Amino acid sequence: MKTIAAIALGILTSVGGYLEVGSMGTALQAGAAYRYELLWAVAAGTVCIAFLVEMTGRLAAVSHHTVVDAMRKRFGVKFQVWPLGAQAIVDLFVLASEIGGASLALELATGISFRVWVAPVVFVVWIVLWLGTFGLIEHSVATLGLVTLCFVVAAWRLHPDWHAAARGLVPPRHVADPAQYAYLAVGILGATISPYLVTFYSSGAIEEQWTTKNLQPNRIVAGVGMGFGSTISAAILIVAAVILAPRGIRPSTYQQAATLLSIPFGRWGLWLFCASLFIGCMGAAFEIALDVSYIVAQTFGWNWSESQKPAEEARFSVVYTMALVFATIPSLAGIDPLKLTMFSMALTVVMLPLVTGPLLVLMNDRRWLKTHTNGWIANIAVVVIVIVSFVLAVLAIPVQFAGA
Amino acid sequence: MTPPQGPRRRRRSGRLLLSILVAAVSGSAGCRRSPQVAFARLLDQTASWAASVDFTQDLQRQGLVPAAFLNDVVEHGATEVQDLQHQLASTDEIPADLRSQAAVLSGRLAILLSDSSRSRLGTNSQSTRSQVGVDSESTRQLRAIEMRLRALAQQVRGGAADAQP
Repeated sequence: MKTIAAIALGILTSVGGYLEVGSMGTALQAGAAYRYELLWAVAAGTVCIAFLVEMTGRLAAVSHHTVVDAMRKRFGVKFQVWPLGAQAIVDLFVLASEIGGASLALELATGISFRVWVAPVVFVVWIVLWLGTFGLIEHSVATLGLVTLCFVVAAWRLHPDWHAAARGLVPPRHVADPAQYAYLAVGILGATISPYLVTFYSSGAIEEQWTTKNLQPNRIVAGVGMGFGSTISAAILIVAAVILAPRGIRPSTYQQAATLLSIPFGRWGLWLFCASLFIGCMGAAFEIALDVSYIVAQTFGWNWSESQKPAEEARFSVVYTMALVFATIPSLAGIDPLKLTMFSMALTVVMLPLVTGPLLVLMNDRRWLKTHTNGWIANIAVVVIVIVSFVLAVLAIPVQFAGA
Repeated sequence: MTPPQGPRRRRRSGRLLLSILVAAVSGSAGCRRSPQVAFARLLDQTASWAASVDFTQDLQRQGLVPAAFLNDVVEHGATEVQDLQHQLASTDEIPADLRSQAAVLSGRLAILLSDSSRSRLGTNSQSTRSQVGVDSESTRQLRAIEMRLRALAQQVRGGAADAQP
């Protein structure tokens, strides 16, 4: 009974905490521009992240080490500081996007410029991290995040062409503006296969003191949780395909997309959109700020835990404080959150091989995983998806910016 | 402890990585987007703003979104379209007549949105008969500009397709 409750909670946490500015922004743009033709990217990204999340949970449960800690011991700090440093930098850009997204949600709801909201949003994130515990943050945000299921309800209510949506699960042979299409595919893959989810999940498993008894629940939570969570991304894409695409609306800012739910939900539509964007971004901001601290602290072997008092792990607390201060800069400078999001997601994909490569080596090392090393399916799925994503990113990003 | 990689294996890994990077960069250089496609996309983005404002106005008339939100959309639209207007005017390798048409249409849209934004700042949140009257006229203009922008984008794309071998 306890195991079932833990699995249910884990799935709820995955679903409620899944949506954030990256998955929302990329799905919106993809649905508006190409209708259902990028659903395959959501599916591929989900498969990959489910495998990666399961792996890191397994690593934590068997070896009692986080991904970063294990990498440090396995490869040495001199090697590991580069990929983890790159991930920390990408995390900072994504964190800036989340802060911008949350601030913009408040602008949409109040009409007051998002730049005014940046400081209060950052303060709230900081104070919750300072005073809260890991469990409180994770579960409360995930519970509130269930509001994002409104997109699934909206998709259902709009009666889309489900056959066309199903065809979208296979990449098309011909598309208009292939460079734009590839760039959006890269964005979706980057938003779905977020490296911060990988490192954050393993840190969370250690915070919750997982053992081998958690292996089966971990497998279910990773697979089912990520799967259900990605239905929200897919739903956003579908709703954008039905509402925005026929009207020729290609959102380059969130103002253009905020009317997404007004048809299916009437007067509640705008508020549901704002609530989803705000809660999703705040939840992700908590996780990413913590993730930066986890990466730095675990790389250098410092004391770390969200559940300890800040005074007991001063360096850990200082890192997320500084990360949050840095994250305010793009929004205060007036950079549009949606544009920053697309750039951050593309950067994420470029960094993916640096993070997943060493992880795959660890996951096949019996000294760390004993009898729980990877099977061939997991290895192949992750390698193929990451390589395809990386090649797409290397091809699409220069063309996108060269032609802009 | 993993035995250190031999020098031969390290060289092979390095060469493989270098080959992939060179192939990727060469591929992306070969896939450089045509200027006509980039120009057409700017036209589509401009038309998209006209469509966004039109749609939001429609929702506001039905009472589905508040006036403050519509003001926000119009204000942002005005800024974005002005930026797009500059980009359209400065795009090289596009025939002057097409650039001129794009500049005129985007300029009209920018003025329409700016005027609408300024007039909305001076009204209260309740719709009045006169405001609805103004909105109907601006809606007709918005839709006309949007249609012409999309037609121009199609024309530019058609030119790009003809130019391909």
